[in-house]
This record gives sequence, C-alpha cells and structure tokens, in this order.
Amino acid sequence: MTGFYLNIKRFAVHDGPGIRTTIFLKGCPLKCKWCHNPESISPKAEVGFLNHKCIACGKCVELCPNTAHNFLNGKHLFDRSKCTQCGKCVEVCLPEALEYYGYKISVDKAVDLILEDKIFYDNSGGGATFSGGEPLLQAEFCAEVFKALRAEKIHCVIDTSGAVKWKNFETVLPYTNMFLYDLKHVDEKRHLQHVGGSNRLILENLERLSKCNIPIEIRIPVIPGFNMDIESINAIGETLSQLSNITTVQLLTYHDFGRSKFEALGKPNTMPKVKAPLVEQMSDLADKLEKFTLKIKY
Amino acid sequence: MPEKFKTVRKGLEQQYQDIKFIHDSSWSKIELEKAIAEHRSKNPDEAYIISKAWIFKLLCEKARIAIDEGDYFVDKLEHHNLMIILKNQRIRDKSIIEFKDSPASEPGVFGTVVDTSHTCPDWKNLLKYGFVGLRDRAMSKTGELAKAVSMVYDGVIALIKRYNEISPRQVLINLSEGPPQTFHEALQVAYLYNELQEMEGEEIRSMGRFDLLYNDLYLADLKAGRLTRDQAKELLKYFFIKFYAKTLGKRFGKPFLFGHDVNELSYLAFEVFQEMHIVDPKFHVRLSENTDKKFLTQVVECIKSGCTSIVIVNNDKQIDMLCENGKTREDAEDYILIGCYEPAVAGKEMNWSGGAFMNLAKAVELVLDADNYDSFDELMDAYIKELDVIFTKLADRSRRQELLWPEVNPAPLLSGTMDSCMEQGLDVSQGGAEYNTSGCICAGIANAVDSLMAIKQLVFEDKTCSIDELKIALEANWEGYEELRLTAIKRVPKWGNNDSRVDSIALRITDFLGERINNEPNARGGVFQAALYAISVTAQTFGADTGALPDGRLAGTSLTMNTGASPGLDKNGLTSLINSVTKIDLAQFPSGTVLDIMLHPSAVAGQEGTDAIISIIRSLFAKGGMAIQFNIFDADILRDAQKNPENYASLQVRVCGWNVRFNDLSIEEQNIFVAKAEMV
Ligand code: SF4
Ligand code: SF4
Repeated sequence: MTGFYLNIKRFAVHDGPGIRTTIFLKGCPLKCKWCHNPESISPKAEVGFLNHKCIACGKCVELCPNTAHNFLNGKHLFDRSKCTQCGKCVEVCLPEALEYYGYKISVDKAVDLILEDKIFYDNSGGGATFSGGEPLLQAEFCAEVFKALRAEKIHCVIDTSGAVKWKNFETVLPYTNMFLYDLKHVDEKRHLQHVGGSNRLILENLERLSKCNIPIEIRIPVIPGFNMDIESINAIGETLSQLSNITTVQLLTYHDFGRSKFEALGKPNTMPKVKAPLVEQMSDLADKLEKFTLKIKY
Repeated sequence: MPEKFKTVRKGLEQQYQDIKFIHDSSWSKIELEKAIAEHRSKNPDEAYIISKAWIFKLLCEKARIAIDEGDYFVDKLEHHNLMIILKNQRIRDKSIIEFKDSPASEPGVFGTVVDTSHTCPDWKNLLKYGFVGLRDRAMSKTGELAKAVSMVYDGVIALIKRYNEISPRQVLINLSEGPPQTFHEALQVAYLYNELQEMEGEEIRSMGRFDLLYNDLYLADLKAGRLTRDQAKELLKYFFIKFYAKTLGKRFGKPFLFGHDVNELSYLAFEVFQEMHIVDPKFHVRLSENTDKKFLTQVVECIKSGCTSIVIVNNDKQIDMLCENGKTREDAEDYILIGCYEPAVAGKEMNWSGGAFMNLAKAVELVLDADNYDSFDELMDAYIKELDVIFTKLADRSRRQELLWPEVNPAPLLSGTMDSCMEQGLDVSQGGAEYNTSGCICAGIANAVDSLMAIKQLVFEDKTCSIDELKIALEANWEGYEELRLTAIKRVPKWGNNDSRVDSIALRITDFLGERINNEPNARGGVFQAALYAISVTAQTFGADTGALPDGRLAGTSLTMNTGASPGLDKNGLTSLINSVTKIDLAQFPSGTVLDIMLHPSAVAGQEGTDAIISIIRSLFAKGGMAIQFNIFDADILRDAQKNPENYASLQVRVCGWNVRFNDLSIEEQNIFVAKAEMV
C-alpha cells in the first residue's frame, strides 16, 4: 500500500507533543479561503510554477512531451490543462521555478523514515503525525503506518479537519494516540461560505470522537471577519464545553502569508486581505474561551 | 551597592578607551624602553626567561597605573604592550631563520604558528595560594624557573601595593599578604591575573570552572553576612563587563565554564549574564545526565533570548574521550574548554590547540589538479594520500614551532601557577605542564565531502560531465558553467542530511584523520590531537586561498564553518543533520568538534520550543555528539538571508500553524519576520 504525500517535515515541534516527524498527505475535502498550503488540496499530483524564479532557460519547453510550456513574447506561459504531471520539466529546472507536488510512499518506507528519528521522539515525548491536506482521506495508509510504529512504541497523531466519513476515523482509532482537530466555525452558513463545505459532519465526528477516550487538541485558525467576533468565539466555546477529552484548544494567529503559492498553482488567491490579529486580541479571545473551562494555547 | 551598575554601565563599557593614567613619579614609555634596553645590553647572556621576568617586574613597579574609584576592581597598568611587541619580534626573527627552506605555512593548504593564545593557568592554585603564596612557593625552590616566577609574583605584589597606596582598600591589603578570603577578593585575583598574564604575552582562553571555583567563597560571604545576593550580582556585573570592555565584542570572547554539577553560583551567574545581555564573556556549560533540569532550562532560555555564544558540551563523553587519550580519570573529570571548544585538563594541560590547521577542502583541489582518475575509488585513495602528505608536513612544522616557544615566549607567570612546572623546574614552553598536547584543526569538512560526492556522481555515476570538463569549469570559477554548478548544488546529495551515499565519504575521511593525527608525537613530549571544526577566521582565510570547488562553491569564498552541513543545504532538517554528524566517531577528535544549529525564534517559541531545544541537546549527546551551539536568527542574519537566499534555503519560519520556507515569502512578509526577530 502507498500513501500520497506532499511534504515530510522532521523536527516538527508544533504538530503534537515533543519533536515529531510530520507527513503531509495530499488531498483535502475542504477549500478554506485562507489555506496556507493550497498545493495540499488536490488529491492529484500538481506542478507549481514560480515565475519570479524562472531564468527562461527554455529547458522545460524543450522537454515537455505535451508542449505545456511556451514562451510568448518573452513571457513564460504554462498551460496546466495540457500537463500530465510526468515531472520531466521539474527535474531539469535547476532554479527550482518548477516544483512537483505529490509523491507516492510505501508503508515500509514511511515507517523506516519515521524511525530514523526515534531517539528524538524518545527524548522529547514526540512521535509521528499525519497532517495534510486531510490525512483521513488516506486512513488505511495511516493505519498501516501507525500499526508498525506502535509496535516500536512511537506516539502517533492525526491532524484532521474532521470532514471525512466516521468510518475513516474508525480505521485509524486503534492505532492513534491523539488527534489534532481543526474547528473553524460552529455556524453552518458561515462555514459553508468560507470553508467550502458544511460543518455538520465535522461537528458530528468531533462529538463521536470525544467519546472515544482519546485526547483531542482543538485547533482554531483565528481569521478576522470570519470567527474572531464574540458570538463566533462564544459559540465555539459553548460547543467545546459540552465535550469530553478536549485537552487543549490551540488558537492559530492568521497571516495572509504565502500568497505566492496560489500563484504557483495558477489558482486565484482566495486569502482574505485582512490584518493579522494582534497579540492583545488573541489573548482576549483566549480569556473568553477560558471561561468555558478550556485550556488555551496561542 | 544596589543597582549602581545600571547608571554607570556605559562608562564601564568604555573603561579601556582613553584611560587616564596617573602621571606621578612612575615612568613613561620612553623611560621604560630605555631601562629595558640598558638591562639587556648589560646582561647579554642572561637566560631569556629571566630577562622576561625582569621586564615584567619592571612594568609592575614602574609603569603608570590608573584607578577608577567607583570600580570594585583594580587592574589598569600602562604597559604599552611592550612584552607582546617583544614576543612578536622574536617570533618573526626566529621564524625567518627556522623556516627559511620549508615554510611554516602553505597558503590555503595548512598553517602552523607558535600558539600563545590557548592557555589557562591553574586557577585553583591561584585561589588557594594567592599571589603571595605562589611567590613563596617559587622562593622555596631553586633554578631558573623558580627565580623567574618569584620575580614576576614579586612584581604583582608590588603592583597591588601601588594600587593600595593610591586607593586604599582592604581587598588589596589582604591580597598583598595572602590568598583571597572573600568572593570579592577572589574575583579581584582572577581579573588582575588575567590582565597580567596577557601582558606577559599569553592569551587566557578559559577562566576556569567558575561555579566550582568561586561558590564556596560566595556562600561563606553570604553566611557571614559580608555580602547579599544582590551585592554579589552587582560585583559580578562590574567583573563581567570588563571582558566586554576589553574587546568591545570584536575579538574572541573570554570563556567561563559552568556545570556539570551546579550550585547557587551557577544560577546567579547565568541570571546576571542574561540581565546584562552581552557577547563577551562567553559562557560554556558541561552537561551531564544528572545536571539539574532547572539549570538547563535557564541556559536554554538564555540562548533563546539571544545569548547565542553558549557552547554546551557532553560531559560524560568528553571525559571518556580524554581518558582514551591518555589522561587519568581524575584529571579528565576536571576538564575545561580552552578557546572555543577544546577540552583540556584544568591547570595541568598546555594544549596548543590553535597551533596547526589544515584545509580538507583544498586537498580536493590539489588532487584534481594533480592527475586524472579512472574511477572514484582511485580518486578517493589519492585524496586520502594527499591528506597524509599535508599532515606530515604540518606535523613537522608544528614541532619546529614548538621548539621555538621557549626562545620566543617563556611564561613564568603562567608556569608559576602549575604544580608540575614548579616540581620539574620547567616552564610551560618547555613542556613543564603535566599534559602537553598539540591540536590539528581540520577545516572544511562539509566542502570536502560535498565536493567529493559531486565528483562521484557527476563524473563517475551520472556522467553529466567528464573530469576534464569539471576541471575547466572550476578553472573558470564556474563562469559559463552555471548549469553544471546548479546541478552540483541541487542534484547531488549533501553532507548533513542523513544520506548514506555522502555520509560514507565523510566517515572515510574522519576515520583516516583520527587514525593518522592522534598520537603522532609532538615536540614537548606529548601528542597531536585532531579537531574537526573551523571558526570563521579559519574558514575565511583558508577559503581565500581555495579555488572553485566541485560542490559549487566559488573561488575565494569562505569555507563552511565547523562540523555541520554547508549553509542552507541541511534540507532534511535538524534531526537529519544530527543523525549525519553523529555517524562520525566524534571521540576521534579530542581537540574538539562542534555542531552549529540555526533556528528562527518563531520555530522554538514558548515552552514547547524550550523543551524541543533541550530534547535536541539530549538526543545529540545520547548519539555521541560532543558539543553544540545555537544560533537563534537575529534580525541581522535574516537581512543577510534576504540578500543571500541560497545560503538559507533550509530556513523555515512559522506562520499560522504552518512552517514556511523563508525564501518563499515575499519581501514584505520577510520584513515582518525581521521585525519580529528584532523584538526578541
Ligand atoms: S526550466 Fe525552469 S528556469 Fe528554465 S524556462 Fe523552464 S521554468 Fe524557467
Ligand atoms: S510535468 Fe510533464 S507534462 Fe507537465 S509540464 Fe512538465 S514536462 Fe510537461
């Protein structure tokens, strides 16, 4: 069995306890406007192109079997509709103007790779995390890897948006030590508008998961104009206060950084152009949420 | 003395600029020089160590002094660097003759010097005996060294009395009569000694195990009610600021060593250090499994707040290594770090650790120039042979430098602190210390390994180019061969990423170096010891004389510092870097190694970040790492990253729960991180 991933990050210190290796799996059912990793959304391989890094060497034009790359009046045009993601152009593009998103990895290889850093997990109480995209779209792969890791006593975490069928949770549950669970909004309409999907499934799954006796850390990206207002935050607090096994709530400060990634993918930039929340505002939100007897980190 | 320091800090930082020496009956530079010249012409046959002692004493008795009434310490003597000038003259004169036919250094390849800049006295003896006790011990002995030692310590005592005449202080009266009895007196001894040994011409590169040496006096003062904790902090601030004032942060800092067993003074000193936020002195830490976690946390917090000069060493492994290299366990346990990272036995070892350097990267260039090769194995064998040739020359020259030492710079003040020198009647320059080792610093490991890997892959495996094409490209400093250069940089695996293809090359080199260098006899009855690091001066000087290299490095640019990956090329992250480096048996480098770690403050923010750093240190040490230092990116480094993005390809910052490559951010976004780093 293979997994389909975007990126592997070692020495990850914010994706669960301790020092971890995080594998970002590709493919996501949601389309958050503020997504910082738009290249993780599509479940297929993609080729990114960063115009400002291109030195116009013409190699990609020469090599592409589908004439997806062209120069017109000195301007590099990349016609993604023709691209079959063969990767040849990426290989020859030394300035790294072209980048490949999406690689296959076998269970064994993923396990070996994660085990390389075992000593760091042991010393820090860390382990392995599957993030994404939405890792539970590849729940069986996650489960296989975790099964092998648990045999080595490695702590296993899933970082999920919750927007998958409950059965996918069930697949990984026996091998998972902890969930990081994104919660953006409890209001369905707002959620639909900004996240590109309903939150009903997310909330349902969260409720069920909270009864499984497994620690859950909630993560809330704090986005001005979306969920920073008192009602939204109170509603989130209210919902969470009804649930068990919520160990902490982590507030993530929104920045509209990384816009170039949308450009690289030839996708319209949907990141809201709003000012990042101030430290005082974040601490204010934390105070509000603490009233619901939640433990807050930000 | 509450908080006076704050108000006078600026002045104290400038205390060595435009010193107002007292013009009384003491002597001007001309008078001093005249007296020295007369003495030497009247005594042409006098042993040089005695002449030196005579000059030392003369300066103590006659040169002008200065005292700041508001300072808790006295230390200023207008010696005009006369002894250092004399040393340099003698080194120059004797070297010209000695190295007439075989140069002491080959630019870019290796270098040797008379190393008078890596010494450490026996601080324990200084505190135990005081200046008077050391003088008396010398007087009870016979021979040239004993005579010279009693002369110089007589000089020191005379100087203390002169200070006391101008500014009467109980501390000075006590020190002119016996050993230090209080914390204040002990610090006065340490600083004055430091000044005077450097006047004599040997740089002190360790102030010793500070918490161990001074804690008893500190506690006794507290108990007797002579001193409060706050007063002790104030004293320490006046004391530490002198080291900064001396260099203004522009030269090597003065190392102080802490741990591994910590005490009240360890905490107090770090508290002061963090409050002062200065680049000099440098604090180093011996860390063992049992070192108090609370202390380690304080050290890490200090690092995170920007005190990036702190080196942390693996206590237990260092001790084992020293034992393997001929030290008794008892001595090994009392090791210090002399200079940057070089372990040595406190008060008993002259480790000459900066006496010889060789350039591992240049050897690649030499091997390529020398011949053509049919296989990578053949080339690799030739490379190892080249290292052997270089080290053989280096060892010969370094031994000859050692033999010059007694002639150019005997060191009675320093020798007078050491038991073994006094027992044998031998100056440190004559091998009087108990252990007399010589360092051989091997620089440029990352460039060497990456270059060899590039040749292996591009020429022999992928056949991207022929060896001749590669040579032509290097000859042209890669000009016109940008594609090949980028291929070498981006498509060849790099040292420091836990990739066995390239790490195996590193191991072959380091195994050879350890085998060849360690235990080669030196000229003072000791042996050579390999070191695997390059401080920035070494990396730059060697780099200036190294041509373009197959790893893509341009001619004349700096080599990669120390032991880790080349800048920005540790793309697999910190843990992989550590996994690579610890494949090397680092105990093969008893004269030191260090791993540099670069981190953006946002990546190690909060308690999680502190815990992560601690785990990194613990994991590195569990894997056999010897020493680590952290570089938390400050605003200047980030600005440099904006200018030279290729050097920082692996730098990540944290954005809204995601790690992002710094290079992928727009300029405006990057600027926000620069500003953030400025706020730390
Ligand atoms: S290969 Fe890369 S640099 Fe060359 S034209 Fe294509 S995108 Fe630009
Ligand atoms: S990935 Fe293949 S098909 Fe797509 S643009 Fe590149 S070369 Fe053409």
